[in-house]
Amino acid sequence: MQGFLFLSPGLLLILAFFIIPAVVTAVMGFTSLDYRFKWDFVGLGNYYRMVRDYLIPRILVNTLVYTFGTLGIFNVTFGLILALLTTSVGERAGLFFRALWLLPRFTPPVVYAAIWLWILSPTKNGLLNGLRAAVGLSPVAWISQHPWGVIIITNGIIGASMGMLVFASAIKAIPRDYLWAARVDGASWFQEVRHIILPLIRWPLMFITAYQTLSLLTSYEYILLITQGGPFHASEVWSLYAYNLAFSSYSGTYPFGYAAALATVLVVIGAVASVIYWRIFKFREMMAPPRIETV
Amino acid sequence: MGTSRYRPGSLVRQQRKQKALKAGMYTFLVLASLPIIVGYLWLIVGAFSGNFVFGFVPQGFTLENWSFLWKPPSPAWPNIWRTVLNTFILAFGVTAVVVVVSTLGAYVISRMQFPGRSLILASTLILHAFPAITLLIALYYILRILGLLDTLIGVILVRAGLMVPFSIWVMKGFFDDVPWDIEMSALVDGATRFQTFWRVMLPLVGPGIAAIAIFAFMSGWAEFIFLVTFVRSPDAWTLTSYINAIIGNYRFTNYGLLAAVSLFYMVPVLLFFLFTQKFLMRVTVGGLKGGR
Amino acid sequence: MKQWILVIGLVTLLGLCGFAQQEIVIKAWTVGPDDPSITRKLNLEAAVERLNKYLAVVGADVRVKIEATFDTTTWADYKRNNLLALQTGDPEKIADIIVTGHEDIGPYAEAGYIIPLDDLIAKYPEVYEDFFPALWESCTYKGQIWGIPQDTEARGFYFRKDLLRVAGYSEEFIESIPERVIAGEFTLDDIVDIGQKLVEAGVVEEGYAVWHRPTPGTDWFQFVYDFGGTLQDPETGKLVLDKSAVLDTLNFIKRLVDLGLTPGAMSQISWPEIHSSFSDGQVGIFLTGGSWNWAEWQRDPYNKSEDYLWDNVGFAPIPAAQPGGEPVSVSHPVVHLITAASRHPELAFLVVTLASAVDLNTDHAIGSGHLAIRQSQLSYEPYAGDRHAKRVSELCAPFSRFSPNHPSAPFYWDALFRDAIVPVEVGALSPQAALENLIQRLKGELGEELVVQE
Repeated sequence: MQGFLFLSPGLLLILAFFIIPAVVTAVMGFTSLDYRFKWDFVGLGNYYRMVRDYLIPRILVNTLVYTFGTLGIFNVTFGLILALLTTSVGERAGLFFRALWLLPRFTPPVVYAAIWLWILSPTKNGLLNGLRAAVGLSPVAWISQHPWGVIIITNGIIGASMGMLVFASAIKAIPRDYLWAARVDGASWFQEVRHIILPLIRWPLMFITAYQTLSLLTSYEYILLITQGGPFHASEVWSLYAYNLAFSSYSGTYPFGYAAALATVLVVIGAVASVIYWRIFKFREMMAPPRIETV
Repeated sequence: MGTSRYRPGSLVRQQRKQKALKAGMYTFLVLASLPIIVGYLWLIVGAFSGNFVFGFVPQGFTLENWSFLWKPPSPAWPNIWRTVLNTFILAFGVTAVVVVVSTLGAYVISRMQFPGRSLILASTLILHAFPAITLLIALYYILRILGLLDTLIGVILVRAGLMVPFSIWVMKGFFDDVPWDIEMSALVDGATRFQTFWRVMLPLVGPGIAAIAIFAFMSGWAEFIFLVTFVRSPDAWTLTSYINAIIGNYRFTNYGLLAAVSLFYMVPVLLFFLFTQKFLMRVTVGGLKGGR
Repeated sequence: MKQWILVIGLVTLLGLCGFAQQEIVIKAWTVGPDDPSITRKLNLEAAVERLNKYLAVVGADVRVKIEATFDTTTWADYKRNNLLALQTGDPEKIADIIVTGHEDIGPYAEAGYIIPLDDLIAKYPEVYEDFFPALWESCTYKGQIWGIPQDTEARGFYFRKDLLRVAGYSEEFIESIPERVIAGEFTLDDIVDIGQKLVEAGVVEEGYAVWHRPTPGTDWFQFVYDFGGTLQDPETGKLVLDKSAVLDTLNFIKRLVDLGLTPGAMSQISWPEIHSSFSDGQVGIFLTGGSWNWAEWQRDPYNKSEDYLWDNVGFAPIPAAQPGGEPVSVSHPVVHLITAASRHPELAFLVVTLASAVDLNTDHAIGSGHLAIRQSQLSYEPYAGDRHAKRVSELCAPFSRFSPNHPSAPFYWDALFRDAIVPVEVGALSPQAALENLIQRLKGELGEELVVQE
């Protein structure tokens, strides 16, 4: 019973701020809740609206490109490259670069966004266009010409650090003897990576892939701050669309019900995805010793 | 190296190759890190200069951007120090809740068998799929029922709730590493479960507590979306609200002020960073803030 | 013994009543988001100060205390916060007085968040009969008045006289632009012509000739009106999408971009960059200006003197689309609303009435570049003596229009910009496709409340 006492504050918090809100959101998805805050149930009305919403296909494509683009390019691949390089160049330099790449993750989002707004400004007061102006080129509208590139890069620079950290600690946990042995045999660095390191960090690789797919699917904070989903919904992902409907000036009528239905879809996708991951990656095995430090 | 004795000829070639490889690695790292380096340099340079030529060449040195420290740039804004105090309250609040709640919870999960144990563990991954930030409307209702709207306590609880599942996971890993024997001997000596937890276990999982405390502090310090949505009165503003007001409708701002306040906001983060990175590097899987 | 206690208690109580004044707290939410508009808050505070002065003279034991906030973030943040607080219905969390755009009257009245004011207005004819009659129109919803105008403004375009001079326009022509606009001689085509000439003469860089606001706003309705469109069915109150007028608007935007006058990325340029580029003379024409810009440019960080602005910057309403047509200027009055949750609605209304005093409102109008709401302000020296206010009133008043009072009007202007103008501007959609796009989006949100007109 004492155990339950220890556990209860955590359970209470999770109940109050995860479970109940999720249930409330699901219920809300069946109402026409709006600026009047009347809980009128409309059955599947919001889902019907979703099917007919001409923006949805566009939002869907954006969401897929954003999630898998960021995941594939940055969170996994780039994270891995950074981990490999920073564990190969020597202790001090490796630490420095890892710390550098961790910095954006700990930078308050508003500050991070401010930096990018300056870099990407479409006028010559921005960094990139300033550089172009210095060599006589005309300014480029980065966000409207490369909306996907912008959201993938800005999120990826933050996203890469997670994979980097986890992979790096996994690599450092590989017994040195393995690597010595390979070197004695004359293996090149690339061979070493390919035949020794990668197979040994298979688990963390899978974990990051699984975990971060879900994170990316539901994240929109930085997109909201940097592009606001624009121009013309070109960088608007599913979760941001729900947020914009419910909370931005987008709609004078604040269709909370419809937005909640959109959020519910995301919750369901996420739940299903985690169950699938569960099966594929046999997470149960990971769960026993969850501490990756010693992987 | 031992190999040189056997293959003297290849040593030079291999060393040269090794050197080229290292140089390549450094070049790649530096180039790839360039956007980060340049971005933060801009914060520092921009905070102390007037306008830029070509967007990146600073013009002169000035402290004018820092006048917000003694006089608010807009009469409607609160005193900056009040804002700083609020930011600290928020960050420490989140830290306190997360550390206490997850240490207790993780201890139980690590050490006791009870029905639903694996369900709780498994749910941490599922919970991650629940987009807490898209649950904003519902969270709003919950806070309203609890009477915590427009208060920092409300934001602290929501943010802490978001972090608890993963902090529990991290802490469980640290508890798992403490051998049973240590705890057993304390229990055998007649200590209660709580005394054991408090006197024996806690000191042994110090690094874990430090790690989750850092993440909790950082996430509270940087909090954006809940704050902007649930808090309206300037009395409860944090530095995020302050910068948000500067960016505003992108309307009445200047880059110098923006850079100065941003840098000011970053100082504790940078300090924290310098002194704690050895903890950061030891982090276990689910522990990073918010995910991604 | 017990009696003694009772007597002492009573005496103490009476004594306390005699000394302690009753204090009534009135709460108010106000918004800029521009800094100069802080007078929206200050005027309510000044009104309470005056009220307390009167109460002291009367010898009443009541004093009023005001707790007002002033928001400088964005309209969207402000309104969202208001809405979230309003729906609690909790008088502790809800202000008695809300200062906001008149477009909120529709939804707030619909949802029962605010009260109709007709009876209260009738109590103070000495104040309210002095208001410009046209302004009441913007406060009327379903036959009742729900708001007290706080200020109004006028929209129009600004042009750089200095750049026009360099491009070869005569002083005479430049000074006559406002008159020509009013006479219907100067049209939207002339804006295009001037823009082209500025670029050709090398006075401005390509893409720096004609700029506009980067955000949605009632401003965009001006062009729909200008091309002969309507926005609301007067009979049913439903919103109207006038296909040909919207298409003309989109074609006009496309023309500006195609000719290299307006950057395709206009919607991503930040406000400070727009204001500094225009006030520094790098941009020739600011198409969607407002009377309040004048006050903004005189403040930090732009810091232009008023004389400098008079020498170099001209203003006129949005020119007609066709020669001989009428120019357009949409006004967006800001109003005081009294909430249904208020415990002291009559007192709150009295505070608003006192804050509408000629002198206080004039301080606001001049300090923040807004326009008068009362006829007697026109003869009140500080206002009458303000050149900018006088000019804008004269030029725009005869042509001023409002955005429709409909709960979904903000959605409409948002969609008009984000789902039609922006895709055309960035080259993602043709004007025709963007129009279809807009219709779909509006239909999805408005359903039966939208009438599509050929």
